[in-house]
Order: sequence, then structure tokens, then C-alpha cells
Amino acid sequence: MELQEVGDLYDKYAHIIYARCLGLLGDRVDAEEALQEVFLRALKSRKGFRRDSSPMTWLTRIATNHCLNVLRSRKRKSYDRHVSLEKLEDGEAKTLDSHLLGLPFGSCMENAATVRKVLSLFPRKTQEIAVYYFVDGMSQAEVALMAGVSLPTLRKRLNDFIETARSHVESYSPNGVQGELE
Amino acid sequence: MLEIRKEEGHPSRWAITRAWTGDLEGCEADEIMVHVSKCKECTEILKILEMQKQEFVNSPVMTRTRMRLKNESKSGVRYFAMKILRIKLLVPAISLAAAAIALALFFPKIGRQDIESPYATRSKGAKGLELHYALLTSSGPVERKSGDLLDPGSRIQFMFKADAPGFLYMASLDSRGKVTALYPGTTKNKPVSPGRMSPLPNSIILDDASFERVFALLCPDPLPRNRLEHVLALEFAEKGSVRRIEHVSMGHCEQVYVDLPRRLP
Repeated sequence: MELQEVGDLYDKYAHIIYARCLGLLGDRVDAEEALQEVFLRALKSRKGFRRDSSPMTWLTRIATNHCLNVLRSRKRKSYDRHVSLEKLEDGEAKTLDSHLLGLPFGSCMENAATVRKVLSLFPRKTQEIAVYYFVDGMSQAEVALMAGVSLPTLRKRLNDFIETARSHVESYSPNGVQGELE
Repeated sequence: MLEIRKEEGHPSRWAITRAWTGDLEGCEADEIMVHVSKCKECTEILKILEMQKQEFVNSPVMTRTRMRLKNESKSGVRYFAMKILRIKLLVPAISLAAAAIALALFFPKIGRQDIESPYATRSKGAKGLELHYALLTSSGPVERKSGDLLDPGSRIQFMFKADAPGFLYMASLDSRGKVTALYPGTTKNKPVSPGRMSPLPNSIILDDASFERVFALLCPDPLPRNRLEHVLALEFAEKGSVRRIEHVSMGHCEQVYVDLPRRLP
């Protein structure tokens, strides 16, 4: 992949990557930094991109890894600066989520915040799966393909995630998600 | 495979996003877009994606990130330029190092050859000490004899061989009476190992004196510092010419000398 192609990818996918970074990190400054970092990594590792996946999938993987690292780093530093949806005014939160997180359904807005809160309780692979499923809105088949796990494994991990999330977050309403899993 | 959430009957948000951005192509994308055009819920997703893109394009984030990427890609070019530059500098450095190693390996070889060579310079009066020198040229060291004419500015390397252990002292005296210490220099003098040809630690560059005589002494005991230089200066003061000094009054030391006359312009 040439330098110019990375520029083209930026024009095409930057807004998608920014939205998902914002959804995961919950902070505009962090999301902007993450966006830059994702494309810088793409710039550096463009020669290694083998096109066995689509460019958007490739960028999404980079973004996921980076955002999960940032979240882990925050936890290590006991750094809780996330602009949680609870801290925003109701209308503001809806605008933020609807327009920038790209979460069209009411339940998804809570999902993004909940996922962020409980992510650190899980191993890295489960974190990835939860992000793809709840934040990116992938189907189970798409998540299985993206994360490289079988469907039964995927369902088990998602169920574990939901059970733990339910026990940790009182306000969590699993109806929408649970319905899809069953 | 059309990515449909069968449990809901809609394409996943991810699949809609991919179809909309053009990441998904062909029949799959067409099928999804046909569904979206007929489905109110999925049309909402599409509208949100479009608003989201519009908002991002109008935000400073887009420009800031683009600028940074541009700068980074330029620094990438600089990086490769530096890499090439480093390679350009590296090649001469490696060549020099290889030449130095070859030189270091070559000298003992010359020394061994010189012992049997008819051109080897055995200075007058020496029994247990041999002194040789070679002219260092771009094509390598060239063995020369005492009395050979040399150009000012030439670099020469001395080698010596002692038959018995002792302390080596070397100094030169030129036609102007200038005395230069050559060995042991500033370091503490250690006894030399007998039986093998050894080069001096440093080569020397000849100045524009018309004649120079280099004295080497092998003494059984260490001498006071600068003793040889002091004695040579006294000898020159007494005899008035370096050519008349064939022996230095230094007790029981073995002595040799080598003449280095200059080629006059």
C-alpha cells in the first residue's frame, strides 16, 4: 500500500474510526488522539497490509487495539476521566451518541457506556468481542470472523459478558441484547 | 454472504456502514442498500452515518489529523533520506576499518619477512635489537632501508625486535638539533617481549628537516624519564651535527639507529 492510499483511506474512513474511538473512549480529546494514532500506525505498517481483509476492517482492528490499550492504561493509572453519559445533559448525551457514536437505537446508547464501564473486568479477547458486538454493531457472524473465534465460543463469551455486566451495573437493561442472543 | 441479523431481519449496522462507505462491494452491497432503501429503521442508520460524516468533515479534528499525518509522512521521507545518508557514510567507514585491520595484520607479516630479507635494516652496533621501518602509502606499507630518501609529510611506521627482555627507548634527532621522543611516550614503560617483531604504537609524519636520525635503545633496567632526549640534546650541543652522533652514552643499553634523509625540493 502506497502513501497516497493511506491518505485516501483517511478521506474515506476517518469519520467512522473517529466515531468508534469516541464511542469506546467517551472523550473527544482522547478520540482525536486515537484517530491520529490509528492512521499513524496505518502509515507505518502499510507495507504489511496484505489485503486479506478489507481496509475498513484493518483500520477497525487497529483502532480497537489502540482504544483497549488506552482504556487499560487509564485503569492502571486509576485515571477515570471518561466523559460518561451520566455527566452529560440528557439531550446532549443523545446528540453525542446519536450523531457521533452512530448508535441509532435507544438501547445502544446505554450499551456503549455500559461496555466501557465493565470492559476492564474481562480478558482481552472478550473485550474485543464486546466492542465489535455492542459498539460497532456487528452481527455475531461478523464478530466471529473479525475476532477469529467460533460462533459457540463467541456466544459463550458474550453471555459471560452480559452476566457480569448485569451484576456490576444496576442500571443495565439487557433486554435488547439478551433477546438477540437467545 | 449477506450479513443479515436474522433475529431482527435487518443487516447489521456494521454491514450497512461497510456498504455505505464502499468497503463492501458487488451483490452484497447492492442487497444491503436495497434493504436500507425500503426499511425505515435502517434508513435512520444511514442518515446518522451521513450526519456523522458531515459533522466530522466540518470539525477541526479532520484538518488537524490530516496535517499531522502529512507531517509524519514527510518525516518518513526524511527518515529514508537519513538512512541513505547513513549508508553513504557507513561504506567509507567500513572501508577504513577494513584497511586498518588489513594494516594491523600485515605489519607482523612484514616484520617476519624482514628478518630474513636482504633489505632489512640492521643498524650499526646492534646485536640484540633490530629496528625497521616502512613507508605507509595508499597502496599499503612499503619497506624502506636506513638512508633511503623520503619526502617531507610521509608517514612511517617503526618496528623493532629484541632478542632479550629489556626496556625500549626511542627518540629522533634532526639536522636542526630538534629532539623528539618516540617511545615510551607518556605511558609507563613496560619491558618488551623478546623474539618477535612488534610495531610501535604510533606512526610518525616526517617534517621538513633535511636529515633525521632515529635512535633506539634496549636497556636492561628502566631509565629516568626523558633521559634519552636529554643526552641526545647534549651530544648535539657537543658535536654540532647529528651525523656525527653514532653512539649515545647510556650505559649498557643495546643501540641502533636509522637515518631518514629528506628529498630536497
